[in-house]
Amino acid sequence: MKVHSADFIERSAEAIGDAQLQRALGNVRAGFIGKRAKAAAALPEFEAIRDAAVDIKNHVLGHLDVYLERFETNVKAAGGHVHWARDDDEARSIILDICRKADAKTVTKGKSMLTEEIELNAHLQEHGIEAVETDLGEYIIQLRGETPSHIIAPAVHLNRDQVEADFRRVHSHLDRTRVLDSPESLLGEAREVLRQRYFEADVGITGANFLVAETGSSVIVTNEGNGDLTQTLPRVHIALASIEKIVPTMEDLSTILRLLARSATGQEMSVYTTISTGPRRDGDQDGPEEYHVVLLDNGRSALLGTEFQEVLRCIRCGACMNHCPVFHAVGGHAYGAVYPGPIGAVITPALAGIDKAGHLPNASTFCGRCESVCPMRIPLPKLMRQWREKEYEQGYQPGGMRRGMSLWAFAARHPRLYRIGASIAAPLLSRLGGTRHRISRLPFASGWTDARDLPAPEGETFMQAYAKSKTRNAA
Amino acid sequence: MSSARKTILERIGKAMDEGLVPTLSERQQGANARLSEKKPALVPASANVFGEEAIALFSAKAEAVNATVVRISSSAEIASAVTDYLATKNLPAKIRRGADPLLDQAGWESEPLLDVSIGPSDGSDIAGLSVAASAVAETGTLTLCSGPENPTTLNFLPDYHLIVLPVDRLHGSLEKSLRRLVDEATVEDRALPRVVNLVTGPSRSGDVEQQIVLGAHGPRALHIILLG
Repeated sequence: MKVHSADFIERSAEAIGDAQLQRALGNVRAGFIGKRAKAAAALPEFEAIRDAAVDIKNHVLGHLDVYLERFETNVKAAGGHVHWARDDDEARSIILDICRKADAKTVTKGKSMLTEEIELNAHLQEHGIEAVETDLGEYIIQLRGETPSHIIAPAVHLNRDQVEADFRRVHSHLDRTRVLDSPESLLGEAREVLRQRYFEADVGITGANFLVAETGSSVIVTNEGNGDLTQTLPRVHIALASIEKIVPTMEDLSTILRLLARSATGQEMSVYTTISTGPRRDGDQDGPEEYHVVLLDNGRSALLGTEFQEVLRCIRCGACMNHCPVFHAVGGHAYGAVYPGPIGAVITPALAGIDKAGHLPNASTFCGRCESVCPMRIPLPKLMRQWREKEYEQGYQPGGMRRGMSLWAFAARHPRLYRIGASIAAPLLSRLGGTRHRISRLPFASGWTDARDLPAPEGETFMQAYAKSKTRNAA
Repeated sequence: MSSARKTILERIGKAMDEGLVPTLSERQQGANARLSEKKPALVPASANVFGEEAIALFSAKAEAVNATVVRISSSAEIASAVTDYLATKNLPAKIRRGADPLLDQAGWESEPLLDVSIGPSDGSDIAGLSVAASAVAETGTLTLCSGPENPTTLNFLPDYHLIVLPVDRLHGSLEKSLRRLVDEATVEDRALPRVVNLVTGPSRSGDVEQQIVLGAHGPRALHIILLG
């Protein structure tokens, strides 16, 4: 998994100055938050169902090896194939091998963050196989050569006029005078263009939202129907899933499904929930002749039994990023990682190493909104804090920051010294603020003052003001 | 790649054995118990509906996600319900359907102008007709099982999807609906049908500026014919 998080600060600054992006990000704030709140409020048992879902996933993680073996047995009994991949490299080889055996020229793809994680499209392309994304958002960003900026709304960083320009550039065979200025016309055009691609494809590749151990089924949850056409029309279906996607029974699936769409888009159910078990049967007139599930570890088993295990409960609904003030400000690309937002800030260092993803757990105000909306109650701020501690222990923070923090920590442990320091700094800063009581430039704090003014203190420290008020009250 | 299988299972087992989690034999017992109990965790009170109340809830929920609903009293009225729908939508009197036995007594003879053909869709059909295996009142969801009776392509390729739901197949909760379906399909250790599609309204996308537009890659419209 490629991570470019080292540039997080530069990318964030660019993102904040990007007017197009800021306009598009307004849709995240306006759209997702209200819809989720309404859906959660409409289900009186919502909070209790969150607890039940946490229990299910904790149970699964505590019995994961047994469930994976049961899942495998049941897939095989239904005539499907199961492949195990330790890392991204193995998963890519397995999928390429299946595609080659199928003599594939073209594959269609349903939306899958895991295929982004293993950079599957580039790998297939290098080996002469064209991968066509069919989810509207994924299709748009593929045309632009971009990565998804959000795990459920990959093109949320774009406005309609940008999409129109891309469609006019790429769909050059279509009438130039056509009107293409609404979400309806853009969707209509993508539908027409992609219809043909489904029929041409030799292999269809999807992800999996869930794997049901009881029946050996993979489950995808979509709204567009593209995932279903992807896995129905080609001769071979490959579902790529990470090992923690297991649920034991249909009852457990039902419980978590009640949370997924409500937390993601505010729907009670997504339009299509598709439970796939094995290949085409005798007498079937459609559907794939081969069904493969690729089970990918890629660093997840190493989290079991650690202080980061809880992150494996994630069902990838996107609620944490939809409610994150940092995501709202900079969008998904600034993170420079496959998974953006709070969940990305916790998963990326876990999968790629804290040395590569150090900025991400720091990209949080710890406001706690992510944890409050996470359907699986993943303590995201706590996990980010744990990564910050690890980052400090391993010495990955910049020297200036480490020295500053050590100085502050020393002062904080010596109250008298702290008070003396504060009683010198407060009047000094107050004078710097002038009549406006605002500081527009401050040494060592340009990161703050470049973008906004720092409110100047009144001139007194808290302890001084407190002592005064006590004297007043006593009098 | 069996070595990958071994490594992954060993990694998981090792992490667990080192932690406070149960031993392998306890894990096996725990997993087996859950798989055989099949216990619902927490079913919302609103899903606890039966009979006419379930039908009313189902219809309201399906309409809330842009499906249309009509009700007929006998299967012989299916053909005329299909003709009526196609006429209101200004569509050609033509329908593609699966070989579901319920549709053998659909009253086709009373609609001589309706062009009915049987089989999967190749993408050229404007309207397709399926029969639901079950349905969920709490969310207005229909479940469809693949097979020659109801080919999967009919669920996704035609622009207009019509689905017959015999009302005795309607359940209040998702759990009940899925459990009934799995139990019936897996008798004598059979596997589930290749695909079970849970369908809640016509296809849609919000990928351009988060505005929901109906008719993405699947049907633009979903019409439910309640039978009974």
